Amino acid sequence: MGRTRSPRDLMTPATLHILLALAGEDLHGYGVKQEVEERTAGRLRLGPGTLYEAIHRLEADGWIEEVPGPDAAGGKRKYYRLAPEGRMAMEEELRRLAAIVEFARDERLLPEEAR
Amino acid sequence: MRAPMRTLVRVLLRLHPAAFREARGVEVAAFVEAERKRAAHRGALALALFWTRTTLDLFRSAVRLRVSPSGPASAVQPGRRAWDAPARDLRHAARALASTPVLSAVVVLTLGLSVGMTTAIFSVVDAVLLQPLDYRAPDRLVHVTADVEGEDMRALFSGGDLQEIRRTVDAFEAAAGAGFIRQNLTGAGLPRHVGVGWGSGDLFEVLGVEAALGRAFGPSDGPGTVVLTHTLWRDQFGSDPDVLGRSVQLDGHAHTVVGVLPEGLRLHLPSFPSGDVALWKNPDTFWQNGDIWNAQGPSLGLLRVVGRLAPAGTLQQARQQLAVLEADFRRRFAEYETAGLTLGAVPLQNDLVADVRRTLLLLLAAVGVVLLIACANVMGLLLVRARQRRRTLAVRRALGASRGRLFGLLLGESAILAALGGGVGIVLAVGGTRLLEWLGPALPRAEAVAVDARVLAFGLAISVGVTFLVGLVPALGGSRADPADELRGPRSVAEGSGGLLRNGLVVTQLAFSLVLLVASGLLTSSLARVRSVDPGFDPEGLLTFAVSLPGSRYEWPDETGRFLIRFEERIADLPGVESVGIMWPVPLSDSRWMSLYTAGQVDEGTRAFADYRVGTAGYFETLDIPVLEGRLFGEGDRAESVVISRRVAERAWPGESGLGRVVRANPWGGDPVEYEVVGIVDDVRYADLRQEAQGALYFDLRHWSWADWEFDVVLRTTGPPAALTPALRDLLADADPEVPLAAPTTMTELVDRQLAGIRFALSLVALFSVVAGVLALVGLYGVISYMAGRRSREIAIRLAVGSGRSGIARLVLGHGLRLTLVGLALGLGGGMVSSRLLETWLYEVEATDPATYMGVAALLGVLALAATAVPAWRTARLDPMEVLRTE
Repeated sequence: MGRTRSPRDLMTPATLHILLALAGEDLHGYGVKQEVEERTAGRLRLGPGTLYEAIHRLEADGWIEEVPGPDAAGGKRKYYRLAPEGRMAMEEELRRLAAIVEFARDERLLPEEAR
Repeated sequence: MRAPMRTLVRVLLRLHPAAFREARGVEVAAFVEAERKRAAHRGALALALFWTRTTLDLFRSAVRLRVSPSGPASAVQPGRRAWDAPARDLRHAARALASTPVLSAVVVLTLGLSVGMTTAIFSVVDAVLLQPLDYRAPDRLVHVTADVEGEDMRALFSGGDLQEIRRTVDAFEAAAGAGFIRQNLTGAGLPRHVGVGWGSGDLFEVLGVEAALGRAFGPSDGPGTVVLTHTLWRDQFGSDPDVLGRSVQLDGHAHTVVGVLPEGLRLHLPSFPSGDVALWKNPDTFWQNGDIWNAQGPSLGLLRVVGRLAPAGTLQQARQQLAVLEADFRRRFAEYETAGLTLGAVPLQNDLVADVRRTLLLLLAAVGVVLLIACANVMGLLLVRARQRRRTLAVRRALGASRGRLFGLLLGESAILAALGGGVGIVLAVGGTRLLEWLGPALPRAEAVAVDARVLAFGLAISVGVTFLVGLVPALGGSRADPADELRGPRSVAEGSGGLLRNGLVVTQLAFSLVLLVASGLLTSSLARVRSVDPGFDPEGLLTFAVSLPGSRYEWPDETGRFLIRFEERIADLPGVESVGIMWPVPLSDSRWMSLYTAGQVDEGTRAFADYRVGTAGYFETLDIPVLEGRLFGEGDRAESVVISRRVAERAWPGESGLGRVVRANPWGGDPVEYEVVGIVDDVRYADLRQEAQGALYFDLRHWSWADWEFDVVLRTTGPPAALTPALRDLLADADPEVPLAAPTTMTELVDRQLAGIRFALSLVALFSVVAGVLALVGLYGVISYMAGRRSREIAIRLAVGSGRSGIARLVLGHGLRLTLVGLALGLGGGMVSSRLLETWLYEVEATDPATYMGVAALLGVLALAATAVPAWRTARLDPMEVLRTE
């Protein structure tokens, strides 16, 4: 994928959380939504438009790919898997966030640390 | 999922690009269904919130996918709440608008004014034309008409005619009659001359109207039963609930009150002065002028007839059965045959508002044009605004704002402007409705005009419609701003594609405002011509009022005649009275009295109508009506003497004198009687200033006076006419305390009432056209200024390399002139086509009157030139070095 990251391509929490949800296991769309909601303790609730728009765009960018679902699900539902490109983008974003957290920790700006 | 919700999801999916819909549609639907089930468990509120959130979420994803179908996935913004993003857009939009307060205010006022005017006019259209009448199943009610062939005239029915209609037209399950007379009401405070609705026993049953207090009269009530209107009950009886069973006197006959009608209810019937009806009475035979309920044929026609269609009956059947009856009437009554009587049936509501429909539709069309102009104007302003902000928007885009966000921002601005404009508009509409009531002629059903929920919904709907109409194009254009293009540096000289749209908008505004100005011009000339009509008398300084003597106490014609002559003499002795006369009816009053006559060449079978009048010789002197030949009524004249007017004489005996000849007329019904012509006077326009006089026959009051019906007294005063009313009232009370002085009015008021209709149409169309013209000129000025501003660099270079300033001015002026000429040409064409709508109001002016068209076009052209000259002058005075430095 030849897309270069520009400031306006900063990853939004929604995208990051979708990628994180798929990093664990392959999921169908609604499963992604439930997983994200669980991880964020209900703070991030994706609506159908937002979720499938993101999935649509992520698939177009090659960050995730469609896979057949397990036989138990009747094979009818579409499942999604995190593609290598997507994993790289996710890791890059996590490193960026980690660097920020690192910096904050060093400066004793993180509330738990300052206690 | 319920069907409407499935449809909603389907519609929302439709908004998405096809590629998305095909790939994800099934999943989205399954997602929504799963979430719905969860929400449904938590109750109705949760479900409602779920649908709101889901709808907004899908709407937003649709907009984003449409605006940027291949944007990066990483930027998808869910928003913590689905309405966060719109709310943020609105906040930003409000801030952006506040930064250009003048432009925002102009837009809000323009929208407010046009929405307000449109809503006010709609409120009248709705109340008068659209709302069903206050009757039971009003669409089954039919007005039975008796048109006089080839004349703009309708005959009224006698009681015998009504009985025939009931007997022969079985498409009706019932048919009722209603007449209007005026009577003296005594036994309830001061004596008053009031309008009395005279209804057949089944009138209230047929209409389906019930009393608010007591009951309405029915077919089984004996003579002498009345139902009060709410207004009379309040004014004359202090809203006393014990009024039921009380006795009141009408022209000296006792009547028992059995009920009071609901507040505000008026029984609307075509050409029926329902606003003047104070109470309704059922048929009786007390009336000295005859028993209208049992009279046969054309004599004593006083009734309008309303039929209610039977369940199986149709309008078509009613018409066919009335045609059969018409043939029968014509065979039996010679007068019906001569008059060319035509029976017809028209849905009651259509007939009731037939006269005002054209006026209201004209006004609706005119105000719609203003609304269009305002839209074009606001759209032009928003385009300029979006254009000027392209750089700002491009910067935001470069900093990471998505197209969807910018689009939302710009649409948010339009939404705020439309909401504010709509708010201003609705306030103006409430005021405008009051103004229309005050300004308007007596519209039928005007009492129902109000800014109610329907009208508010209409105002809201056009505000929202206008937002999308004027906001969408600038928003789309602005959100497409390409950062690379805009930030590259000084703009290129070439005019962008928006130029055509902007020019088109200005041309449209000019064209439409010219159409309205042409309409104003034509109406103005018409009004001027109606005003300058010579009615045949001098209306200045004349006072008129009515007197009606009760038949229960005055023997007619002797006692009534003596009383009236004596009363006339006593008025003549009052200080301030120059002259006085009696005549029924006076010119331009509500009352009309006309009938057929034969004389000389006007033989049997010729359809010639004359105004019939009974009065005294003093009338002619008082009104300044010249005597052309012979003399007025004299002391020793036979009862069968007549004074005729010029038109009758000229039709009957062209080129000869009519003096001493015979006119056959039947003022009192029955067979025609021969009258000898003793004098010929000049014509008077009795019915309408715009209608040629049809000629009149005058009979002598001394022989032909009556009771239970009014006579008009008219006097010429030396001072202001209305100042004499108290003295006249005292004089009448002295002559007979039970006879009230009725309807005092000046003759100039009667003339003014004639002009009310055209003046109403004119004042509104003129208001609309001025607003339209100002908007169009502001629009033109704005566009020329803007274009000149955009070309300032090019112009500076031209000036720097030695172009003359006059050449530059010509360049800018030329642009304005081209737009103006195209606009005027289109406007003239549009005026030619649309001015046909005006024909009802035009008097002695052609709808295509070249002078009006040229004059109005020249006026608008000069103003447009002035609006262009200002920016042209400013541009020509540019300092080239200044411009090039800042660029």
